[in-house]
Amino acid sequence: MIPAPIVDLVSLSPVIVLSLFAMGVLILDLFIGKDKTVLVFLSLLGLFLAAVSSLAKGTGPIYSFSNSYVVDTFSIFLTFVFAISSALAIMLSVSYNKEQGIKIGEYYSIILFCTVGMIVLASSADLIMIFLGIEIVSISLYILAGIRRTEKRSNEAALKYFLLGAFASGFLLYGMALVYGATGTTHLKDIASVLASSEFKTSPILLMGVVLLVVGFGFKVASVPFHMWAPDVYQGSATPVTAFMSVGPKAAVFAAFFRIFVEGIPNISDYWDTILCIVAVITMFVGNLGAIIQDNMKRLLAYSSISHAGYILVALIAKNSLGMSSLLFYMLAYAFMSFGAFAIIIILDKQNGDNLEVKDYAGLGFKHPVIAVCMSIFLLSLGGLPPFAGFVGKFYIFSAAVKEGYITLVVLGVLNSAISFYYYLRVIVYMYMKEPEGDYQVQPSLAPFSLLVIGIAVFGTIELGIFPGPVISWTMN
Amino acid sequence: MGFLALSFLGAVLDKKQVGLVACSAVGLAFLVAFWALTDLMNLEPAERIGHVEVLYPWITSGKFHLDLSVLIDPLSVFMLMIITGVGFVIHVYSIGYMNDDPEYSRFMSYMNLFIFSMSVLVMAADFFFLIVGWALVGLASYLLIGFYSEKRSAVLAARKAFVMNVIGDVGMVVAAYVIFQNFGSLNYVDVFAKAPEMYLPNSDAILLITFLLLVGAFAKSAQIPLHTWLPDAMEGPTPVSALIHAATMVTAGVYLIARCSVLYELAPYTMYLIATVGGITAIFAATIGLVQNDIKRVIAYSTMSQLGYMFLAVGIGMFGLGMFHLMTHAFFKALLFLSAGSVIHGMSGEQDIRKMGGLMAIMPLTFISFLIGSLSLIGFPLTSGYFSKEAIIISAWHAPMGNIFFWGLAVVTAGLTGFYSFRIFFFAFMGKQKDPNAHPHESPVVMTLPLMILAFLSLIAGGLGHDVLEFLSPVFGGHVPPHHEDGLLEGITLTLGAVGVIAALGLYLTDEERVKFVKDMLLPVHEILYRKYYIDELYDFFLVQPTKAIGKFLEEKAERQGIDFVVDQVAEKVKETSEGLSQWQSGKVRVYALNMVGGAVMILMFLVFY
Amino acid sequence: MELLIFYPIAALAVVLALFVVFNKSPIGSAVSLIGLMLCLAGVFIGLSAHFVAILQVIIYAGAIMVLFMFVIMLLNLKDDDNVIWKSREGNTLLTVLTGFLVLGILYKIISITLSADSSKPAKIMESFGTTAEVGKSLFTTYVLPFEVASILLLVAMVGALVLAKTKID
Repeated sequence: MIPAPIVDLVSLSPVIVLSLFAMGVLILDLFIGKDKTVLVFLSLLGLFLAAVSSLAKGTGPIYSFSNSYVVDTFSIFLTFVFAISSALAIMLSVSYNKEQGIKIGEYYSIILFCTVGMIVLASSADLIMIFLGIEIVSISLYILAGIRRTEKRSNEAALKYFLLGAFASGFLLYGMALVYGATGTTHLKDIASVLASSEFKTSPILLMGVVLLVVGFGFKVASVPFHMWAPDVYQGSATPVTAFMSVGPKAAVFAAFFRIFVEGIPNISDYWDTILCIVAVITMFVGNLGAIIQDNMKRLLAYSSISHAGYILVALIAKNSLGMSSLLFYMLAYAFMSFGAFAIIIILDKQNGDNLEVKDYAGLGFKHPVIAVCMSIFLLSLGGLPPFAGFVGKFYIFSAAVKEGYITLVVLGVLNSAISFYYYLRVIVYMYMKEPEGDYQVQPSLAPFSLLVIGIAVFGTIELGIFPGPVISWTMN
Repeated sequence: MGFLALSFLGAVLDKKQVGLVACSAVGLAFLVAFWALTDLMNLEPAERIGHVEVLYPWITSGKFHLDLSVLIDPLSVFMLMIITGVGFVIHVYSIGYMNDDPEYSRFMSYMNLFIFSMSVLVMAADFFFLIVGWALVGLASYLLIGFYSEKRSAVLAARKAFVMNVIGDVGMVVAAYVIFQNFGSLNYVDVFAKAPEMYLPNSDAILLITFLLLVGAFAKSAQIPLHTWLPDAMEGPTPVSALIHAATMVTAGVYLIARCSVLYELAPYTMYLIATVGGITAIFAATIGLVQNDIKRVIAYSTMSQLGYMFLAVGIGMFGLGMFHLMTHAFFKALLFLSAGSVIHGMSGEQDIRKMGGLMAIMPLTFISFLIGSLSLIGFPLTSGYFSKEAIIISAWHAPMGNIFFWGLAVVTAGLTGFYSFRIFFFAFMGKQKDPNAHPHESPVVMTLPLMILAFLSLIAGGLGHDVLEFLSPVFGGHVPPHHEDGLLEGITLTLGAVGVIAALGLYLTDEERVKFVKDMLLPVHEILYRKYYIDELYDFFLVQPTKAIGKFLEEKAERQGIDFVVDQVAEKVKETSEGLSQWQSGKVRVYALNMVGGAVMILMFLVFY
Repeated sequence: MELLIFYPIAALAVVLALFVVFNKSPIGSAVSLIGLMLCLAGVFIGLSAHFVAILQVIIYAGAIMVLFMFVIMLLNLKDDDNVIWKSREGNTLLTVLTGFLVLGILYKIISITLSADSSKPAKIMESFGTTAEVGKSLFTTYVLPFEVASILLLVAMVGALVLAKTKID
């Protein structure tokens, strides 16, 4: 007699709700005509309900499905981050898709599925679940990267991403298999308790597994030296997709990264924290130095996104509770700043979809002062200037690391922040101090949804910078 | 309360480009301040201190704790009243004064920014936001002084002010750091509560802190030796001079010392230093003021001199008196500046008093207000200046920390004040017009109305003296400074003041030749005074020239071949690295994949051999 | 006893894997791959994972390889004689270096593994690896991953359609 599995659907509610909506969007797409606006609203509703339903279980860590799924503050908070970032991405896509002729209704459905994957990732406490979550997210992203089917760059981005991503998934899976082999379990809690007894600590199989996990996760969060795909893919994808993939999926993978390394294998941190320190430092340097000579705004932000992965790694390395809460805070802050910056890139896009070069921003400060001010806020926040969200986020991350004694790491991080100002300020200097060359006039296309995104992003960036208290105390639980 | 205070900050920040909005923002701020004042008045005196309204806990991280909070106590509300009140009047005035300026709205937004920064400064509940406000004020004044950006001298003056202020800022930041090291907090309430228990008077730490804070205070309040920026700052538009250099910004230093009175009482040595510097600045600036010909410069030196009085007052422990003089001074000095501005406006930009004359009949309102301002400045009985200044001068003798030296400085200065203020008065308003080309006219009502308000305040504010002292007393340990009655000393002061006035009158009435004779006789003195004791030259000779020489040397040897080279090289290398990184990014998938494997191998190697 | 079976099969698997890489004809590579899959199935049987072994044969050696064959035939791939198996510009150094590093690491790992006492394998149940046992755990302990996998497949399917659909309205 097979015992009936214990099923806790309430814990799973955001996943279920969102999956249902995703399928609903998929089906509805067949019956409506060319106007896909209904799908947008349906998707937004789904995201909203998913976020709300994540609260159903309260805040305490509740394990279900034989310890492979967990609902805690970490996962609930991230569910909100994912819902927000996906909603922003969808709103950004509305006018962009219209202009670019992307008429695929499945687009929204795939974003929702991707969000399902992210929620699964943030809530899983089991290696198998984590792998499945990563695969859902990755496959959705491969498709989204290639969504501009007629565009060569988009195809290139999708193919590159797919090949390398599959390669990285191989690393990841092999790493998980080795960790399983060494510990005999896939549940993170059990892994932790197995490792608490000392005899396993130096098992070569386990260490090999950890290395492969670092490689796999390193690829998914675009940390150096596994970052090579990021600039090409970011540049080639449709801009809303770029914004989307630089925030939500990355946050989700970081969540899983955090869960495995800090909750699963903290006992052997002697072995992995030096590696991650080196990776974090190189990531910051390569990201920031690489951004310095970029002229294309999307590429610039792609490199900046690499460097931000480096900062977030610092939070992971700190592996204390402050590190966790700073990680969460940074994710939310980064969601706002990054979406804001990309939203502005989108509304300033040339009609034919070419992305603006930095020099095209010259004189923006005088012609479109409001847009320029918003852009400045996002860039300064990305650079980490008070009183914006980026500053508070970095402050918490660095203080978490200082608390654990990683002084050198923090010094290098701060140095990198200083470097990063060079290229953020370069854009601002162009906007305010240079005269535009040639006769090209920037023509913002002010779609209401895009403006809404910018408004939300500005609000979030400033709000989190000035009143970070409630969010911080939420993440501290 | 907290919410309203915030909304008022928001209102001030609101940089709508219209004068009306700007004025109403400040006016609203004033009302809020007034409301806070009545709120405080309803409390028992003992309960009035230490109301920290935490708007928001901003950053908490281990020991370090930073709240977005405002301090509501008599001192901050008192300052806020002055700042917003006088600020409001000056805003109204600027509507008229700056009316023709094409960059009117930029001016107004700077003014609002300034009021906002100043509010942050006085309402801060900890040293962090104090410094934020401090730096913002510096920035706003830099923008305002350099407002006429096409005028080279204005830009230079702005730069000078900025540099001096930055010196002060550095002192403040270091002070804040030392405070945090010693007290583990930046919050006023914590620091002041702990200080008396932790330190003996004149212990090293407290002396260091007070001295560092003093650097900031001196820079902001133009005390010797950081005073040279103030006269130059007169290059800004006149309302700016009134706002910044009379009513608000320069008094920030006095405010700072009064705010930290707990610390300063533990450091009598520093107090003596303050009083001495204050007294010397007072007399020093007054003597220079004697011979300047630019109407605004004279008033600027007089401001320095009056600030010296305030420092003298706080230096001898009479914090309440210092603040009281700060208030009356804000009224009558703003009045003087605005009247001067009215004169300049009427004379179409002429600032040299030798070219003025006979304005009494043409500009009667301005004339009256200027007269009231001058009377108040010299401490004519029953004007506001009389009450505050007289009290300081007498305290300089009678207060526990006072002595005859301080008193002497103060009283001589009083005489000089009489002379220089009436010198410009007679020159500008009496006699007949000297420049036939000038067509003076009375200013519009938006300008004269503020004058009248301020004139009224200058006349009656003296009567508030006792109330002010009592209101502020909880902040300064609860005791009202004793009022010293000393008819003799008062008489001496008044007499000297009168002598000054008469001397000015004499100078004015005597004919040109005799003036020339006297001038020739006193030529060396005159020259020294006119050159401002050669302070700028001294700076130039002892600081600027050697620095320049060293700089030149360094530039040739070190900079060109050393630092420049290094910097260039660094920049070059960074660029090269960046380019290298881009080339690494070849776009080929197999290279990327190889790279991943390489990374994996590297990590493995690290683990295996580590 | 087990090792007697394991080593030949493992050796064969390595040889076949090398064939996959070095064979010039795509068909040859594919056939070698089938052999490789079968060898792996053998290894699985040796590990008492019967169910997985059967799946390996059905899915990889059967379904996926048939798909490969179809693709190769449909695309009409020829022998890739014209591919120059020479070092690509600039990569020689990197490749050689990496190769040496790998060798060094392998050496180190082998020495570590040999020096460590061979870990005792955990005891397994009698019914381990049987279809019934796999099914049981799939529907009890791993019911959630099992269900989530369905979403993964759905996404992949939708994606394939979206990207490959010839006409989009």
